[in-house]
Amino acid sequence: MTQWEQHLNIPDIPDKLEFKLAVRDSMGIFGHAPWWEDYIDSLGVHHFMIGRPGKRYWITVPDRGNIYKVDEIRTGFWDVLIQLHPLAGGMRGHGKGPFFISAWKIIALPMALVLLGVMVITIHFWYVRSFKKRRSWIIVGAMVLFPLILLTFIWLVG
Amino acid sequence: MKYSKLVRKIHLISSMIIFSFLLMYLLTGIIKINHNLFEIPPVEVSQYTLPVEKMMDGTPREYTKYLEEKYNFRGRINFKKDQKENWVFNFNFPGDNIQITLTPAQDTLHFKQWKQKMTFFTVANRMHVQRGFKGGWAYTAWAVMYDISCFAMIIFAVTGVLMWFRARKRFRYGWWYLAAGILIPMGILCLYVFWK
Repeated sequence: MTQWEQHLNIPDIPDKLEFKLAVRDSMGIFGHAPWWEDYIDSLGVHHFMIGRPGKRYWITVPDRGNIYKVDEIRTGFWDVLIQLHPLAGGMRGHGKGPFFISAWKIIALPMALVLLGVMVITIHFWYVRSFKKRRSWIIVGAMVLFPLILLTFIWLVG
Repeated sequence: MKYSKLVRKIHLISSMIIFSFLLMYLLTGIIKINHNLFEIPPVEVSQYTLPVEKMMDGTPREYTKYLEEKYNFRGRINFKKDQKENWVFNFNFPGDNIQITLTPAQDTLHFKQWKQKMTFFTVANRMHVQRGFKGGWAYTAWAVMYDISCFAMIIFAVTGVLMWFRARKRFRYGWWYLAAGILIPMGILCLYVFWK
């Protein structure tokens, strides 16, 4: 963890999220501001987090003056891998960042298309080789129906 | 069975398993994306505080086990120590999430419960992001299916590379596709890890 301070002149912004995003942009960092990583300590000092794959910034809002303290925590390779998985659709709300923020979206799209291609090719092979076999219908039927039945069971029974 | 025939067969079986998983993933994903087509039940939040009957004198994992048995909670469990030195325990179950906060003085347990009626949308939405094996046999079966699908994806990729390697003279650009498929995502990952 590294600690640093930055002198910022942030105007009064009543909306909490907008204030946090203004601090983030003024600091020149990028990431989203989760609402649950935000608290006021026993001394009445406001702390919040800006997070992005690979880093977390815990920011302490000054009670007086305009020096913001930052605890910068590197989270490592696995955290990046895990966080990028659901971010395939893009990093909306992460602010202005370096070029690779949008690059991930471009990479994830062909990967998703390859997976769809796998589905199409599988159906094709199955149709060519096994369409007329009863055993093949039973196996495919079981494989497709099992998760559907499971989902319906969880929905209806809990 | 000949080596090449065996590899082809494994490749096909793993693709069938992936197909089954992808079908569910796409179905729940489509439902998630088109959430405006469904009536989403409101989330009811309730909060209450109870005195501590048993102090946390062991590991947080042991204490989670105690809370689970004492209050009959279910679902995926996680815990952490927050910035105020509270221990926060979460039990996440589709439609029912409970957060328990144990104060540093260990005098009170604060319960916050989010309840949402189980509809087809809420189940599909939550199963799309479901993690862990807790919650009953149906959830365990779902998680096992998930794991098998992930394993099948690895097998599919490896057998795909093996099949291509034997016929690489006919597919000369394979090396480029393979290198791009590995190096570009790895490069992006490294950028996130090492970016200032």
